[in-house]
Amino acid sequence: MFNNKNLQLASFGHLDFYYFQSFLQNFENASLVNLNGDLLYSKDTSFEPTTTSRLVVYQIVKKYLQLNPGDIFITNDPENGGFNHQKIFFISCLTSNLFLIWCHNFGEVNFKIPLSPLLESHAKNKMLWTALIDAQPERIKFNEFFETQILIYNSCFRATPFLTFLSEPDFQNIWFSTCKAEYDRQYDLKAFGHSEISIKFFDKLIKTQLTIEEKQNQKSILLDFSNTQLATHESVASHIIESVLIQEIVHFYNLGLFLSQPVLNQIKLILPPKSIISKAHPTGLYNFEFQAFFKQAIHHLFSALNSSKKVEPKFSLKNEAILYFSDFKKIGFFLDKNIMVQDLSDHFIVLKQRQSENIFFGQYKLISDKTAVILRLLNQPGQHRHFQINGQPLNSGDHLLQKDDVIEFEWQI
Amino acid sequence: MSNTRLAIYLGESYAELELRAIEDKNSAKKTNTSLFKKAFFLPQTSLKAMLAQVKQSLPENSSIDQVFVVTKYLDRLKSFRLGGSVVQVLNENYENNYVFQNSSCLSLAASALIIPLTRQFDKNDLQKELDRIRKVNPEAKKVVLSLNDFSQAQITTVEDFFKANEFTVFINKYPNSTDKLRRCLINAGAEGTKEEILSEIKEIAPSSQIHIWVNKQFTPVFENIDLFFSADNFLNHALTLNQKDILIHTDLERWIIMKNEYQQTWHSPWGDVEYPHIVTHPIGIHPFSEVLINGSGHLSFSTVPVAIEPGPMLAGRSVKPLIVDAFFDVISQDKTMTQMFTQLVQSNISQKITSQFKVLEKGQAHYDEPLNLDIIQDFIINKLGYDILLFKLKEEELEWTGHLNILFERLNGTPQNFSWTEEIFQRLNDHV
Repeated sequence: MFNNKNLQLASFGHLDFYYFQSFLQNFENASLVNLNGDLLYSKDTSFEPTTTSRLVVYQIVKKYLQLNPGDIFITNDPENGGFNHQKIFFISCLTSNLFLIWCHNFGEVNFKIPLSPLLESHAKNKMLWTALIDAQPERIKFNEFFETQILIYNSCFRATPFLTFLSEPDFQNIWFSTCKAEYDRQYDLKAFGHSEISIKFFDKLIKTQLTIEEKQNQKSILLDFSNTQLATHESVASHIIESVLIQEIVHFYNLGLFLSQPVLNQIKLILPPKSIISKAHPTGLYNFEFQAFFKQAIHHLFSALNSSKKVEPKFSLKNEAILYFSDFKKIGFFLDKNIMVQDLSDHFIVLKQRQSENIFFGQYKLISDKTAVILRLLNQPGQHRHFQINGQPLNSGDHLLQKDDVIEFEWQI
Repeated sequence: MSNTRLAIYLGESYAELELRAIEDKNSAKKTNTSLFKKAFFLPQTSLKAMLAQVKQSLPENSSIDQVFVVTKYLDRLKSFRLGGSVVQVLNENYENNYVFQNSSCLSLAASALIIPLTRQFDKNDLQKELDRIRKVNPEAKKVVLSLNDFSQAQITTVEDFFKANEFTVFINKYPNSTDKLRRCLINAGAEGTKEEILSEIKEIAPSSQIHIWVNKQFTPVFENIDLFFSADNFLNHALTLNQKDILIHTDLERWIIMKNEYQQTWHSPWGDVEYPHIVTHPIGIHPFSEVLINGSGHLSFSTVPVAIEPGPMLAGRSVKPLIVDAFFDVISQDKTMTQMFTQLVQSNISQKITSQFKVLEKGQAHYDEPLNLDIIQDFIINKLGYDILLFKLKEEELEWTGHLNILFERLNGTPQNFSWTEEIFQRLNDHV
């Protein structure tokens, strides 16, 4: 009834992105790289991009360990390529010239997982399974999560001819040429020039210069953060910033489907070591604020290219936030264009929850004894976007809610 | 004694109807005579007009005894805001609370038609609000009640008030849950479309009961939300009936793969709704994707399928080639498809399609050997094949349905003829 022998595996030029798209359809955030570590394809959700983080964790594994087909390593260490403890990275081998790195959120983890083998030649690593997964009070959820990820990984092996085809250096070279050609075309369609902003964030000066310039046939995009101040308390790993910058750059140039090594090679990012944007935080505490900040900053820089100082639009930061009730695993995203709040009625009395015009107003009274609340808020005064507990303003940080406490928010879109 | 049954597949873009006279099952020799069978492309022939043709084919002095419907028609609603004429009666301070789950989803109700109530309300308050709503939208005839901490007597008062004013009332029995409210609003928002379909059928079959396929059977009792999954459940039933593991469905309006997997939550365009349903995965390129030259001078396929009106060039009115148009040569040889696209055999549409693809071939800016019609066909078939490979385990057995299975002969050998109405009658026989 179905004969795959008549399938023709060949390059269809720029339509080849469909191969990768199909192959990664079960993954939300994933990259394919070859043995040289060259990025073949990358996909990210619009929120919390991790393109560069995935490349960093792959390079760490490649440097110290041998990866064979059927092997998966995991980590969530924010000081070694990870994002935060809840985001688990999977570094795996599909063939000797094709490696898959993906990440997936798992709210039950609140501790560091150093780089560890999860699967070896398709067999579970017993030591890790015993020490990490079965030892947890929530071991059913842990098992379910990791089993699901392994199942998705194994599904990649169903289409063996496909896998072999994607691993072929000839095909990869054609694909890289296609991507480079597409980059050149898109680059020429957009404005060249220079723009810059200096802004204080967490009381530190961040200086950013964007230069789009073609020199000696090199069509480069340069983002230079030199002279950004050194980190003291709040900081973020450079790959966290790079991921969001790359996502915004490829979005601006319509290159989302062609994000691969030749495109990365044209993007030059200069992040001074030990600065506020180049020093990993042990738990990735400030990732949200920094990614939200740079997403807006790069938008501004692109829009300000070639503008004269007089007419240049002023950069004003828009508030965005994440509200997380860690005991209930309930989360709310408060973004510039929309909000997403999970149903809280199991744990709170919903006193108010209404939307009128473009203002969302929520007021919730805690039913249970207490819960931890984590608020990450990109906070600029003067906006109708704020949170309160018992009528008092709530700022970024970890908070504790007691029984009958009332948490509320107002968010204007 | 014979029994006349009408089988209807009402898809998003086309419909298939068949009328059969079926000999009484107790008689010695059972006969099954087809009195009418046709497929129509809906933008060109309305359901009402098709049903009129069915009526004409009825033998003298006979009527339709039973009607059986499998549908995907409500998928038309998926790209629109719903509830433009649905009134909501909610607790004060809960206005539009269903949008908090994801405010970027499509709207399910008009804000101007919200009636916020406190427990101190009386009938005068309701009348004032109704007067206001009649000024905003005189057409509003459906109301959703989602009242928390109101007594049953108060809810009945509100319900009776709206019934007395000729409203169809939908009650959310779990007003704490915004998920259940969304379900209730979807039911209310889809009511008009459902009424329209049923009333048109009733016109030619006034005394017959209309059965819709829901879950694993035909039933006259259903919730409107069930109509979004009628066709999927019907296909899934074929899968289990034929003891296969995977179903590939390549029909005119979608190409999907289906296993016997269920999902608890429906990620609807209007937000998440708890509704266990069979999972389908799109495969290949959408048959209604437009083939075009993008801003970079590449041949590409639109990510969002075009509207069914005017539909593909095959239907004779559009000038934009779609994926299905690339296969006009095979499609023009198929009886059902030519019945649907009558102009395909009557006029020079084939030539128009060929020249449109020539234009696309010449318009590509970056290749010495541009992607011509043959290569496009080749790519589409291969892409579907790769996607199947990614889902299918070697040992899994496969069922292949849909009118466009004829396009994939290279992958599926000799395709079997497919007919929705044939499948419907088959299922009815199995049931008997």
